[in-house]
Amino acid sequence: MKLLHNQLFRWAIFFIVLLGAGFFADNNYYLDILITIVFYACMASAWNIVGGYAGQVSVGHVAFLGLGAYTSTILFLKLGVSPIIGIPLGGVVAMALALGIGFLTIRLHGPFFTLSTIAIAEILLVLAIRFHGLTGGSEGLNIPYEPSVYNVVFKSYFVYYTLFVALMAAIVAVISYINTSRTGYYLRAIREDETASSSLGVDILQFKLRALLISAFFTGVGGALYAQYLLFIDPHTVFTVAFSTKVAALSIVGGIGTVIGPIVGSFILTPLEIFLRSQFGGTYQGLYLLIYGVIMLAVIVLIPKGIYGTFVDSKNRNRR
Amino acid sequence: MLTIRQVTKEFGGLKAVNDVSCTVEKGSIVGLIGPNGSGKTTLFNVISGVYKPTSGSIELDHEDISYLGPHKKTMMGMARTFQVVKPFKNISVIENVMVGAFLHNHNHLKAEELALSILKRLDIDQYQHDQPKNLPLAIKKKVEIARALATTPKILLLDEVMGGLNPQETDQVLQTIVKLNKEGITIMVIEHKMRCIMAIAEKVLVLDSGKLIAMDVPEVVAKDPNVIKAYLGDEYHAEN
Repeated sequence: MKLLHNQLFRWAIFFIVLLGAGFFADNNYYLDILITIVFYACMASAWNIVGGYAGQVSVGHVAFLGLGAYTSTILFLKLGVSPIIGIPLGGVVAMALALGIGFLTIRLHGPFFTLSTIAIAEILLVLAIRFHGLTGGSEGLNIPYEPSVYNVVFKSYFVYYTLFVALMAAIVAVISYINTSRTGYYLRAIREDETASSSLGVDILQFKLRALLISAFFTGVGGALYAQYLLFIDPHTVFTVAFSTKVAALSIVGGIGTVIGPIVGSFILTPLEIFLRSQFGGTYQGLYLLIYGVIMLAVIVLIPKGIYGTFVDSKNRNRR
Repeated sequence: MLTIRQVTKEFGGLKAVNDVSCTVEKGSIVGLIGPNGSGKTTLFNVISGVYKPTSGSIELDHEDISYLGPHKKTMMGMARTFQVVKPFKNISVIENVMVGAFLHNHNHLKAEELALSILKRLDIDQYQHDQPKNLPLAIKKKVEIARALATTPKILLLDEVMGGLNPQETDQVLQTIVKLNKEGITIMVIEHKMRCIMAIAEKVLVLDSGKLIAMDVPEVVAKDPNVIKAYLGDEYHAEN
């Protein structure tokens, strides 16, 4: 029974169950739902590093997603570079953007930082539309459906699913490490009180920037991988601010600043959204968004620490 | 150890700290007093790097640290507490102290070990798993001292650590300060309560409207007519 208390063991079981669920999902519709859930769990977890741990609420994370997606797709379509290289490179380019954004905005606080991140995402949206020759403009870019490992295009949805689960495992591993390391403590301290943190020797700018870089890398990788799955990208899908707010919402509902919170958020809200959309999408356009919004509001007002955060709190209280 | 030369800090036209020069000798306890709004905390903020001085210089062990940011000064061995306590409210007491301990111990276990030993030294290890927001002020103030100590400072700046405490708690903190000093930490302390300062300080600096009006041993400062005037006003002085 001691084994069950081992974190590593618990996560291993979680990922095996997750893969098993995908393996036994007997049609592509269910697999698509699973992929969407895991994809958003990845993105929310990556956002959580900077939004949850460091307390820097970014609503421009879609910029990293889009840049990652465009980097790998353009490299593949124009230069024939395999997405095997293109996908991690997408993460690196997103990191480079994060470095630039960091120098410009990391000194800003609260809503000012948030607004500046929106602005950057919007700038990239406009650029993606304008640079028609490179990005295909508003028509977007198609990745030809030619299944092969070199092209990172697969017939089976399960392969994509495995890739997304692997990405999620990598993100969870990194965040779990950060959680107990100096960086994690410093980021939480920065979120709580910047003046007090710097008086304890915390280089605030450096650690905020670290958080932003790690977060951007995973978001970029996720974006590139998602492009391979969709086989189509256009500015309005990969540079829409709605994506950023959704990712932030998943983390907030699940519980920010925890490893598990964003995953819980995605596993509850993503299927809910898909369900609501399929129920009301035809007859009452937009009703699902309304219901979704009400649930979000209820969580923020009633349990501001999120579902997982509240669960942990009540567990601690019972222990006492 | 700490040398302050003609430091001035202006906010717009207001000179919150006006041409202050003084030294803090290694191993001493120096008190900083003055009426409300006399610039004590501003001087602390300039020394610790929260504000940059408008003019003048600050040296720590003969190194110019006038324009360094707060985290760099902490790295060099200067730690501080805040008048209005600033605990990290949502993480436990030991984690609060670990944030300080991580400065020179990048390893998680070593930082935890150091944090725990400091909590024990200050006699607050029984609160290690509580969140500071649920603790009384006296404990919060001790957590602040513990957190600052965890950075292993050479000099510790304490900003009214006894403010708002009852007499027993005040005595406890006084004893703690003396104990830390005996362990070799130089201490500069802002305090409102004259009794406390008189009991522990070897030298007392008095600020009034940003200016240093007295600097001497406590017994002399207490009788200084300028100091009495600053605290009690002209009339009282006239009657004496």
